[in-house]
Amino acid sequence: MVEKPFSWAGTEINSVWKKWFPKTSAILDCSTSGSEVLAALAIDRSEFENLKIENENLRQQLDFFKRESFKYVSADIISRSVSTTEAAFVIDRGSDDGLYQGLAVIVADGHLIGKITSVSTKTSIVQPILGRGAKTAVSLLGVSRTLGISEGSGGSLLSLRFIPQDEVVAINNLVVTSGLEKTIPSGLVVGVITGVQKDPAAPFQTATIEPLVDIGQNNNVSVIIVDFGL
Amino acid sequence: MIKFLISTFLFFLLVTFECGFIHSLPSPFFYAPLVFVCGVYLYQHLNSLVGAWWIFGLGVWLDFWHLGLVPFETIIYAITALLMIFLGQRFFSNRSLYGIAGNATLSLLFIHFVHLIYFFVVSFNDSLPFLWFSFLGLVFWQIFFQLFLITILFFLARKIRSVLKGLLIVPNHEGL
Repeated sequence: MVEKPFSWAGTEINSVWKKWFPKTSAILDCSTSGSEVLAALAIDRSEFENLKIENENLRQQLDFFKRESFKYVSADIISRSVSTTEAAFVIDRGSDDGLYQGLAVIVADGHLIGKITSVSTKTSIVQPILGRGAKTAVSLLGVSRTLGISEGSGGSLLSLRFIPQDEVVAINNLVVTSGLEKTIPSGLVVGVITGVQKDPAAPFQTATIEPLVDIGQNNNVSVIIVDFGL
Repeated sequence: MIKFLISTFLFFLLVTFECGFIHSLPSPFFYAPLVFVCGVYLYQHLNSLVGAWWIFGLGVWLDFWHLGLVPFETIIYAITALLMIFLGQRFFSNRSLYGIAGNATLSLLFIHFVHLIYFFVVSFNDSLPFLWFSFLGLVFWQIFFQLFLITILFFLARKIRSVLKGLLIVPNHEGL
């Protein structure tokens, strides 16, 4: 695949960039340490951290599969759409590797990032769960196991819809796949609840879910193959 | 035939680079519309119709891989290529940076305008909010990087022209 090295290089730069310019944590002020040696060490350190994260990610995926005894296929992202949160990305595995439409695509320790929407013999197209209109059957992890449908809006957050008004939904509740979709096993992490919108006049309440992983920083993914015992 | 093969190879190289590398970069760098800019530049500044075919080809590519923001990108990009040819022949000079930038910006705005209409129509059947900030950010950064890339290409024009003449993509006569 010609695209692989391009995609890999872009993802590495993305990871380094996000390490240097984190969204929430304070950025270290390196303006006074202007020597080239320090700069080179910083780059080395950043590369090391990147490899560590990649290694950790792959280990987590492996541990997850050992624990859950799922059949899976590892894949690399080879092409992405103009925005990481909208439309789709392409992976380098297809029907020859046993993939088919609707399968779950995950990273790290079982974090769902998308679903396969189309398959060719060597490649597959994945719609991210954050993509506009992407729907996933989910449940809240906790006492109530409330069922709902998460829906992407094309931004960086998901909406959890169709939660009955009498259900208790709290901030920081973990949202996982419910298993109601036959191609997606239950228990895959979708994100955490960061806000609840309750309108007494409406039959359902809505919540906002924030995913815990960033697709942009991942180049390796795994596809869970559900065996129907055929 | 050789011209066709070389321009097709260059197109695949550029589009692979854009969808593989540029789209994996952090925000806002992944917005850089490399193939589109190269297409406009090839047509407007170097008088090569290959540029228009590249823009059409980009639409086909996006539809083939389902990488577009909306369906039917092929049709949108085909109309954009025709619009670019029209603007290039009737309104903008092929000699100035402003002419190329003007043509590229209007053509790109046309694509975003069609996307906007599509999202507007779709939102009638859809309870999801339209993310204006995200959409306008995409438009702003695409235009910003487009102007940046055009400026670079414009100042490398002599070198690019001689390379592309060698590859038979650019006609040997000067001007339209």
